[in-house]
Amino acid sequence: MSYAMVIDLKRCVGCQACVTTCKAEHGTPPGVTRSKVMRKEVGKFPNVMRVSLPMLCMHCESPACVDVCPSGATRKREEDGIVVVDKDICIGCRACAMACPYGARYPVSSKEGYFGKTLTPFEEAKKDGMPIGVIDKCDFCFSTGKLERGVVPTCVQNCITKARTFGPREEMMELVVERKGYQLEPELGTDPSVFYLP
Amino acid sequence: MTAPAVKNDVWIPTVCNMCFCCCAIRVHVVDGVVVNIEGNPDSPVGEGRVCAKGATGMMMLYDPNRKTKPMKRTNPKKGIGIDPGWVEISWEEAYSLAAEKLGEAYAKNPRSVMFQFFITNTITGMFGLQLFQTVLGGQFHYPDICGAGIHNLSNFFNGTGNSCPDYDYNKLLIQFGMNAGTATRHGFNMTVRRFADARAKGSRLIVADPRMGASAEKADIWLPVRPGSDGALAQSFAYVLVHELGIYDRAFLKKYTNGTYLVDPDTKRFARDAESQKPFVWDLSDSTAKVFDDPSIKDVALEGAYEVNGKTCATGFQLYIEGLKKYTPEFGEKETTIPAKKIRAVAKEFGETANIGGTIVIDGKEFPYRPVAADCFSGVCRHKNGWHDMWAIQNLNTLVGAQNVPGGLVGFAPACNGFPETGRPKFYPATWEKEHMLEATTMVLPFPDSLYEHAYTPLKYDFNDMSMFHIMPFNHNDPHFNVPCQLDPEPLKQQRCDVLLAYASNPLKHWGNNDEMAELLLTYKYIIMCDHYLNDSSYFADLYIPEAHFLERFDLPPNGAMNHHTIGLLSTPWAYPIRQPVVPARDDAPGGLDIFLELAERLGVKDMFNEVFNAIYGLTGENALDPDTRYQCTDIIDRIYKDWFGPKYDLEWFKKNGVLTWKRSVDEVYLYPYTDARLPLYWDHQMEAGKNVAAAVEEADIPWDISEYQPLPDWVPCKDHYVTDPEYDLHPLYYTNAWSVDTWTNEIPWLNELNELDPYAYNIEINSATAKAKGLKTGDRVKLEAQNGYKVYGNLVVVEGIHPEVLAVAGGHWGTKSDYLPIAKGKGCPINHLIECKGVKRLSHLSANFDQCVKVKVTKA
Amino acid sequence: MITQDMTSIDPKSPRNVMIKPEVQTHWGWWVVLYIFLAGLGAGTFLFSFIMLFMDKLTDPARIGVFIGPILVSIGAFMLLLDLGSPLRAFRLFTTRSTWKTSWLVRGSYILTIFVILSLAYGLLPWLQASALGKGLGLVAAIFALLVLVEPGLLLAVNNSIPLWNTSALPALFFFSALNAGIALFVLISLAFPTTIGVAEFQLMAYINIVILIVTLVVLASFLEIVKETGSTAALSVRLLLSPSFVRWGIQGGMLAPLAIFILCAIVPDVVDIRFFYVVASLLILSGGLILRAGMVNSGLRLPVIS
Ligand SMILES: Nc1nc2c(c(=O)[nH]1)N[C@H]1C(S)=C(S)[C@@H](COP(=O)(O)OP(=O)(O)OC[C@H]3O[C@@H](n4cnc5c(=O)[nH]c(N)nc54)[C@H](O)[C@@H]3O)O[C@H]1N2
Ligand SMILES: Nc1nc2c(c(=O)[nH]1)N[C@H]1C(S)=C(S)[C@@H](COP(=O)(O)OP(=O)(O)OC[C@H]3O[C@@H](n4cnc5c(=O)[nH]c(N)nc54)[C@H](O)[C@@H]3O)O[C@H]1N2
Ligand code: SF4
Ligand code: SF4
Ligand code: SF4
Ligand code: SF4
Ligand code: SF4
Ligand SMILES: [Mo]
Repeated sequence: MSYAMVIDLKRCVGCQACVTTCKAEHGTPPGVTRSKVMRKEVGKFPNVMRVSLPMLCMHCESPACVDVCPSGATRKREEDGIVVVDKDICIGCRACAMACPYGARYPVSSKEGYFGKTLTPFEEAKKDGMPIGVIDKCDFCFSTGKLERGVVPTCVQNCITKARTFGPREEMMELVVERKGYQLEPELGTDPSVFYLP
Repeated sequence: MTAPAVKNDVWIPTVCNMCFCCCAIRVHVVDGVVVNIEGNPDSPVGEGRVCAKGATGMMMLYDPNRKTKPMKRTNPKKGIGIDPGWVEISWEEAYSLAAEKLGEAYAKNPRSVMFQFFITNTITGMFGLQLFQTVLGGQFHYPDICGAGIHNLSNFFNGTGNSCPDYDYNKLLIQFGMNAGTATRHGFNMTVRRFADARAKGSRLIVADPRMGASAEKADIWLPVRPGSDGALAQSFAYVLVHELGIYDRAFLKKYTNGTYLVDPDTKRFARDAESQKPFVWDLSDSTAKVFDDPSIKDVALEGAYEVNGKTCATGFQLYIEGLKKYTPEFGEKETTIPAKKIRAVAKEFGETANIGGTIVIDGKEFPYRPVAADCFSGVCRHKNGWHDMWAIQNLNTLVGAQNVPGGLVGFAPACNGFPETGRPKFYPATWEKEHMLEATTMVLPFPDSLYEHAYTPLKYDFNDMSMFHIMPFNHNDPHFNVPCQLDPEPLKQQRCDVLLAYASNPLKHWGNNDEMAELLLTYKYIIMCDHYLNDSSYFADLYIPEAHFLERFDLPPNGAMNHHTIGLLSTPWAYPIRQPVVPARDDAPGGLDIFLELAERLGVKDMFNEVFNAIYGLTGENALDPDTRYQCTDIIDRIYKDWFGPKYDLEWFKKNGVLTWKRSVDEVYLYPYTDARLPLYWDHQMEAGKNVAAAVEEADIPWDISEYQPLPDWVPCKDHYVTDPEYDLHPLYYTNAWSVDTWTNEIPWLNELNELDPYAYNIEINSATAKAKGLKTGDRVKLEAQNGYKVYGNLVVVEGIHPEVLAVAGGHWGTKSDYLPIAKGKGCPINHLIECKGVKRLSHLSANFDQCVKVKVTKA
Repeated sequence: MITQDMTSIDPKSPRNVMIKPEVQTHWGWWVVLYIFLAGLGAGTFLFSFIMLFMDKLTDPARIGVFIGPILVSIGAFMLLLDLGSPLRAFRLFTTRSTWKTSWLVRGSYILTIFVILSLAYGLLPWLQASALGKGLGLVAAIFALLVLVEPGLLLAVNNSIPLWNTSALPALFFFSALNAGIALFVLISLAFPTTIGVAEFQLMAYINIVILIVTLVVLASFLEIVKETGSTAALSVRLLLSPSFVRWGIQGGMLAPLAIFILCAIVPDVVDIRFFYVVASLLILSGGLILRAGMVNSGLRLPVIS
């Protein structure tokens, strides 16, 4: 079984709540945005469209990041398809970050927190999950035990427009097919488990 | 690894204050440290979700730059960048200094004290207002650039000071100058889900906005209007509906508006029955003029003109549609730059979707069903002519009967039957019986306040009240004339204030030109500031009093009857939550209300302040505050809740349960057909008000423009539309994004990071064609200069989603220069620095709208 | 699906202006130095080994086979320094089965084996003459070939970066590294004025001319091939061909030495000819470094288009 996420762009308003709630859940350091919202503009005035595209790790079925990882830290879990990084093993070579076509991986390299050298109590409390010198990435909130507790990932639970749906890939595919959803850059052969509805 | 010790691990329900929407949250606290913030699913306010700002509460809580000890200045020299020489002082010293300065000023002249607050923590600010204005007799100020006019228009049309489309049933929404439910507006985090549901169900969105903002991004049709031309656009829509398509809800207009009342052609006032003073209408069935509520009326005339007492009196509606005649789509095209063809198409879709004559059954009750709405907010308010523009927009709803019915525009919370166990609080909009008009329960606390009575009350000019409320019968919200008067009291023969108490507000930044605002702050002899940060204005403050952070304090009930924060609608249960501390306050700083209670005691008005709570919350019996007792904020919350909901629901209950909710019923949401009180179409009462204003200013010999007091809306260009120098060819404007609040959230590092990653926020957007013509490109550092010589600088980003005559920035009041806000410092482009604050030319004399429409030339810096 | 006109997008504009190609930020100077030094070292070794094998220019070649692995080791050390957690570098060798897909693991083995074999070969001159030595050298030379292509492959597997994602890249790095190796060889030769005379230098000039021309041809075809693969790639090429890159990487790093070597080949006996050889070789070395830096720093990531 693999988990998948579907993001309905008709609903999404690009509000960035998925970005900061992910930060609140995981305490990612400056510059690390497991979850982010990309923006683009298409067309010419006045026939123009602006699109907000929320992104996270696509938990690819054929992940480009796994093959290049020399240490075996990155792997795709067989039981739920989540692509995880074992931070106790990762050597910090960033080959995975380079290979990932979706920019989903962030090296954690600085001791500094958001307010400089002295970490806030919040950052201190989250520090253990964010060791320095290794890669951080979205893990469908696996590390904070959300799935174990039977709760959907934070950015799904909290999406203020309910644009995000999460569940076993087979179930999600029904929605994807019905709404003519798509993956990002499918031609790269990564077969993402994050789908977008137009 | 050693086994982890047993942790003190709790989730505490409270209420967010990262913006004024007051969403219910639950805060995860482990061993005394806030480790996460989530929405509280028990409350409809947020429904278990937080917005981007809400999730950052702990980043503000733990911000080392937040100042949590009282301080006083030691360097008497004031000015941006000049170190005030802050020294920490004890709370005792802070209180006694504040009480001394305020006490002296109040003793000299109560009106010499100015209390300023605004949108962040409005609840406490409201009671500061009660203490420093109502009880002690001072003046008050806030920069309601967003709400000027619109709240009172809502009062006139929707029975309360805020309205929104009935998202649950709406099928077509036209938004003018707002990003409600996509990035902003009151109740954002509630609206956004309903609005998304509506889109998912196929409801259509049309957005009039010079910039493609969060709403236009989601729109089916984007109308990039020229700034300040919304009135012309709305009137053109009405023209098409009336004169080209003949689509308007005749039954609604006859029954629920005063459009049938006959107008005397000479006075432009209603033709009235001499004895009863009631306006006449025309009964077509027997061709006679009758007073509007004559029970014998069979077929009232909506259109046409009729002979009454020898004069040909047209109906108000007839005059309205005649007034529309000049607003052809071609006229609209010329003024708004929206092609006439598009104007016709949008009007047609609006009219056809309105489903005139259709009905719907909800909860077993039949209602008219008009699933369309035209809504507007701050983008339109920011123009001097905002009142007329928004009025024209509101009329679109009235025209198709989409007011206060399912699918149309409805008030946030016009009516309440009370908590089922106690029947409290209970309110319903009254009817102004003289003309049978719908009144409002107002917007903050359900207090009856008849705007029609204001119109009919003779006025007297007050030489010691800079708000000008005394000559603005329809404006008791927006004291914006304070700004020009404090800068120069002469022209309006006013007197300046000497002492300013600024609570949660940054006056230097949030209005116009920063140098003029600095000059304004220098006119005060003493400034007390109550904030979390030393913002730009703090460079002019003498005394800084910190308030505990919202995660460290109690506040009065945040949403509740304060329907200003929270939308209504049938799908939203009533919700009364508690804001409570989740961690102890850093340096034991008290909450704002406790500060005010202490000051009330020291200023010797504890008793009167206590009575204010009794009056406003209607506290009765043993829950009423004893005038002579010194209370804490918690005592008052406890009493309010027990009094309203019964003894079971005391402070402890709320601390544990977080929120009390109960279902809303249809009659609390849709006023029609529960009332037959009418909406104004022909504003005879505005003529009356204008007459009273004219008399008062004449008597006082004050220069005052009364041209806005008209019976029907009219569109006039903004001041800077008249700038003809071709060099000054671009309108800079600002917008709000979903993850920033006012002048201070760029200090929250996560939010600053979002703005840094965002292509637009910290840059100046320019249309690609315009940029090309000027030889400008993305990344260019440019100077924007207005004709008044004011300049700002910023970096360009060339885009398509913006009108070619427009430049856009987020915020428009960013770019802080405060060294005490190191993360925010210098970020963003403060275009409001281009707008002059002196003089009254930019202020509506009816509704105090502040015209921020300027024209600039842009050159490489 | 929406497409977007890439040509209107300036890659240096503020971040995320649109979803647009962005320069990769993960690998920088350490990796550039690694690629450069590994290539240079392997190239030097390979050329030196061939010379020894052919019994030509043996004095500098003996030094070359020794310097080669040292440079490769320094290069490997650069890569080590680049790791976020260098103390865990041992995992490159202790993880089962990642060698099947990871070029970093393969590279680690290749480099290690190369360094051991080539050092053995280089440090033990008495071995070089023996059959065993020749065999050892041959195997080391084969590994040197692998070292020459490995960095290119490390980059080329990233199909998120079209500039790199082509088999022409390893080829380009191969020839360019060989070129650098020979240039270093020329410099080493300067230390042997007695055994390396005008004729020998002339021979090296000829070899350099050939390799330089081949490298230029490979570079040109690399650029052509890449340009055709899509707009991001084309944009990368534009980014790569910055004025300073063209001046110092191509003109200075390839064309100028080519011209100098041609001059040296035509008129081999002008006075101070060695000075020209020094200049040309140094230009080739700096050109090789610039080529790699340019390649790494112009690695635009594919934009995420939907
Ligand atoms: N995230 C967030 N939410 C907030 C707030 C916040 O600070 N942050 N503040 C709260 C407050 S106090 C308020 S008042 C509301 C504000 O809520 P909104 O009124 O929705 O505020 P803006 O996003 O500024 O919307 C104004 C829009 O008008 C456009 N505009 C400018 N000039 C014109 C014009 O002449 N005509 C037309 N048609 N459009 C024009 C701008 O491009 C912009 O998109 O939001 C509230 N909610
Ligand atoms: N250019 C431009 N001008 C604008 C606007 C705009 O979008 N652009 N918006 C206009 C509108 S719609 C509005 S409503 C006004 C807003 O104007 P204000 O409500 O006056 O907002 P700010 O000026 O940002 O000041 C808010 C201050 O409150 C402090 N603060 C935050 N939380 C708390 C708290 O819990 N307690 C205390 N004591 N202080 C707190 C912050 O640090 C900050 O200094 O500005 C208006 N002016
Ligand atoms: S929280 Fe939801 S609506 Fe907001 S940007 Fe993320 S996906 Fe879009
Ligand atoms: S999105 Fe990137 S990091 Fe995530 S699984 Fe796919 S390739 Fe790996
Ligand atoms: S950085 Fe860590 S996870 Fe990524 S490839 Fe290297 S070892 Fe694997
Ligand atoms: S699934 Fe969890 S970790 Fe991944 S982006 Fe969402 S909140 Fe962050
Ligand atoms: S909308 Fe305002 S109150 Fe609600 S979560 Fe966001 S910041 Fe907090
Ligand atoms: Mo506002």
